[in-house]
Amino acid sequence: MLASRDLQLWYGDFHALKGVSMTIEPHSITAIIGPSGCGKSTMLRCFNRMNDLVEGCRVEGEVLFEGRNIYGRYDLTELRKRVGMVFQRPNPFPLSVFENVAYGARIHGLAGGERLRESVKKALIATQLWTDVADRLSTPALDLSAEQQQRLCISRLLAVAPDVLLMDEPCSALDPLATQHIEELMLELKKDYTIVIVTHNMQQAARVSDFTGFMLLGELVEFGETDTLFTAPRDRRTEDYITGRYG
Amino acid sequence: MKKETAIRLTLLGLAMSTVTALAVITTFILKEGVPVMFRQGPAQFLFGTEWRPSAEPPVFGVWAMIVGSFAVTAGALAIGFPVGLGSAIFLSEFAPRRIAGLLKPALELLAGIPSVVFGFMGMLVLLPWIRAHVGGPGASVLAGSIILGIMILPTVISISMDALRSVPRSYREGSFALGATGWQTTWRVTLPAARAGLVAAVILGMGRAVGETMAVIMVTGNTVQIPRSITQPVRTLTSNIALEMNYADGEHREALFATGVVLFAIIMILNTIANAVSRLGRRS
Ligand SMILES: Nc1ncnc2c1ncn2[C@@H]1O[C@H](COP(=O)(O)OP(=O)(O)OP(=O)(O)O)[C@@H](O)[C@H]1O
Ligand SMILES: [Mg+2]
Repeated sequence: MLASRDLQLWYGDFHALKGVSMTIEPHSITAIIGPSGCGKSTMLRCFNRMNDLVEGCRVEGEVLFEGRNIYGRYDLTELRKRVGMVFQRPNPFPLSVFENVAYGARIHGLAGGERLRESVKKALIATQLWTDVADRLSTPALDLSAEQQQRLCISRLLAVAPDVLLMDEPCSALDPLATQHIEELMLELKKDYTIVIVTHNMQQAARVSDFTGFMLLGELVEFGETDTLFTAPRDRRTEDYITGRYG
Repeated sequence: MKKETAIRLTLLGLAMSTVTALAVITTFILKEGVPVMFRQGPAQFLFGTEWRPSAEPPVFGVWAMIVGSFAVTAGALAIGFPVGLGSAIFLSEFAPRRIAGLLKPALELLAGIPSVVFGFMGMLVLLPWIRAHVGGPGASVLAGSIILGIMILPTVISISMDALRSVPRSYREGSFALGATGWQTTWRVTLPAARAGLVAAVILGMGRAVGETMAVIMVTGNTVQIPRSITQPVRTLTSNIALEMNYADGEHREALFATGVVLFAIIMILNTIANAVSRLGRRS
């Protein structure tokens, strides 16, 4: 589905990714773990080229999406439509609940009128937000709770029908109960989408993911099935990290 | 301890001096200006269209000047706001840092050019051009609008830029991550989120335009009349005071102060609106 090949990234002079190669399987959840500043978010943001927005950022190597290099000639709009992203802090637009979810459809000219209302409803049902907001679609999205806002941001993505969901610590601004709800949602979404999640929380990675990659100082130290990586790590540094001997 | 108190008192005194100056000026203007308004009748003064200081008895009606001020100000906004907002959007959303860095000092320089220089340029270049290509005597609402439109640019641009810059980055990222283009993001997310600040830019730009005097005198022709087209000359409230203060005395002088009272009220209303709007924006 998605794969990086010897990916190198620099922020100015700072070498943030040092030859990362990983393959993301369709309809799976892949977790990227590692200590703060190791490049997890940077790696994730390479999959939809969000790093292009950072001035002075330079990328070498390839990221293949369905076999085509997205760092070659690739339509960014098309890429980001199909590879969506959820951020660490819920970031709904300062618009109504409805307009937030309708946003993608509007900018891509996907649907209008009744069809648009249907697609908004479907996206809200998919994140189990519909029952909460059905009767207040016109209230400002910023009035929702943090969990609801994060669900709204996920709905907003689903409305443009992506294939891949990139999630950068989607639960770190949420309480434990809300975290559990979002994790359940991810397992539900896995049936229809391919998910890559960055997390600080190793238990979370162990609970939800099928594959895990461990990063350290810009390198991908180890990548494999989650069960194997957590029970029988091959690399000494992975073992140190998961047993809590690193930050 | 003693020293602390002394410093505190000194600073208090300095702070109070601003307020005192404002109070003195306000009282003075009101005391000099208000009686003549009542002698003419407030409605007659505000809405009368005749201004004849040397008639017997003199007639003072500032309606033509109020209309003149608003006409020139509206024109200035019609020109200055789109250009200013466009520049602000370019500088804060699209320009590479290097170009933004070049334009910023240029803007500050524009803000620093004295009013009389704008007026002079207007007289030499703009008035002949209007006479030749648009029609009329040249000195006109149009000329005032163009000159003021340029003069309010620094205000409009810098306040609009502040408004755009205060929109959280996360909104833009959210939009880009959905596949929106830079322009879609600006139009659908950034501008609506910056709305309150942009309204403030309009209002402060208006304040600047209403209050401007020298350049306006030099390019608007200063005829007391309600303009029927943008190529006709007008007189603004500020011009009225500046033009006649040299030789006015007695009731005429008071009538000029009364013009000042009207101007004062307009500026105060604009500032109140600007403050209310920016407070509203901060709450949401
Ligand atoms: N825009 C940027 N400019 C310069 N350096 C950056 C930029 N963004 C990130 N970095 C640096 O790149 C490295 C990796 O950052 P990244 O955000 O990917 O780490 P992370 O693993 O996601 O950390 P965290 O767990 O704290 O979110 C860090 O050392 C960071 O300081
Ligand atoms: Mg991160």
